[in-house]
Amino acid sequence: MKILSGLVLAIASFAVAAQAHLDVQTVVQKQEVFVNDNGESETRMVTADVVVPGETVFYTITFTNVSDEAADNVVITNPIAADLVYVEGSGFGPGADMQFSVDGGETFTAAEQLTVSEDGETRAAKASDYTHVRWVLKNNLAAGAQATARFAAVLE
Amino acid sequence: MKPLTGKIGLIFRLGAMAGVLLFTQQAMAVGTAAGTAVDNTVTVDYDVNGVDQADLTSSVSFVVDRRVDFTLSLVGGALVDVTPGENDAFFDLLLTNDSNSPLDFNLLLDQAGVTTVRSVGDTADMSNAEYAVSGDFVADTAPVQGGPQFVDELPADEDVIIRVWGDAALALLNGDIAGIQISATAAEPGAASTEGAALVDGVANTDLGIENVFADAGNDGVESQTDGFNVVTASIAVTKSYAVIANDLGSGLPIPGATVEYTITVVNSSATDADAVSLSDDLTELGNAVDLELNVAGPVYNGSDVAVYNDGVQLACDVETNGDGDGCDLAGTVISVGAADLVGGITVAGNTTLTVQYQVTIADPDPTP
Repeated sequence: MKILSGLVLAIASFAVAAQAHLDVQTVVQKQEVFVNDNGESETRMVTADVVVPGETVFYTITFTNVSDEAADNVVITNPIAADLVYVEGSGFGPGADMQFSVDGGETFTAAEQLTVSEDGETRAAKASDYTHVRWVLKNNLAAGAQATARFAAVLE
Repeated sequence: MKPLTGKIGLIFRLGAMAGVLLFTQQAMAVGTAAGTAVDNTVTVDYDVNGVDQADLTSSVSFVVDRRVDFTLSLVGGALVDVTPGENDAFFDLLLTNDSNSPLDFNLLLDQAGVTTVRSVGDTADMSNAEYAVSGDFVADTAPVQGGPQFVDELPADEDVIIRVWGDAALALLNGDIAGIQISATAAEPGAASTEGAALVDGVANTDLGIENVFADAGNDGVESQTDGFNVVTASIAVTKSYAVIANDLGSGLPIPGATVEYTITVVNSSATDADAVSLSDDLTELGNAVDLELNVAGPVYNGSDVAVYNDGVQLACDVETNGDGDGCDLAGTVISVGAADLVGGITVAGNTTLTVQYQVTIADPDPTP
């Protein structure tokens, strides 16, 4: 299995010479149990080289302001792949409001406000209903600042 | 809005998350197919000085590896009863592919190494032991002898019947146990009608293909199952008695001229059917004392000369029409019942009785006109 990782910069059509202010990188990892020098079992994060159904993977998104200007209204949106199920409570981000979507990214709101219609009835959304996860930073990202967001999902 | 300054290192709270998430791996049948690329693209939207900037994206993906999980289970609920001399007795096993990939399976039969089967000690071997695989995974058609010797491209979440046959030699004894083991080894799929090589656990990421992660019971890609045969024989006891029905003097003694009724009982005291039963009664030792024309003038059994009751049901049996195919013959001084004329002979079911009755007249050694 090959890990495909990299930065894809969307080139703005209107600013050929413009440099992106942010650098964004994403990695996917999983936890591994190993025995330390004292013979004790510990867990560590490793690259998700080998992943089989039932395992949990962790996505970590690191974004850095590489410019000398602050970035405002930073919103990070991450679709959840069809073969993955978001792990409830796993989303984490710095000074950000977490929002979720159950309609393919059309609308976002806080988890506790999400509902879905099923068999003609409306019920509270479950983590398995989420199609997207979003972090909305409460503050600016200053020049040179770096932040990280993370969530976990189980491979079906 | 207060800008964030400096490097914001996020505390992952790995310890807490590990406690919650480490054991989220669950027993799954099938799941996402091996080889599936799971792509993830994150989009970052932001403004600078109130001006919306072009979105940034970053992608990462991984390829789902092969979770090798399968079971080889018993189909029957008990050892299969066989009788010495019985051929092509069989039992079935069920191989189920719970992996997220089609698989081939190499199969191996062994009975020499079997020591117990269904918690019973193995005491004997079957002759001509063999196996074959069903040729239709979906319809689960019955395997046929000489059929496929390996499982070819068994789809995920599908199963297949493996049938194991054996012959029970005549030398086997009542109570003998013969176990046969089948071992199934997960093998590389991909080439239809070609037996793949055994899979190797993919410890290292090759970057090129799909790694194998053994998740079967032994975590080794090999599962075995043993079933077998229980040798049973019928327990037959034969008794013969007679009663004087009438004589000229009314004494009840078997004197010349008396009519004697013989009763032969065949008791099967076992639970096993006794097939192809036949019996013969040689009256030679009575010499000329018996009128071997039988006492057809006497009581007649529903139109037959010989009464044959098998488990309470009377069979037609008439020696007076010798050779008529009814299963009763009179050849010289020998009365035979259950000859091959009766299809397959007579079956005396387990715990039932076969009764044969006939009457003869004791001849007068010096008949006076």
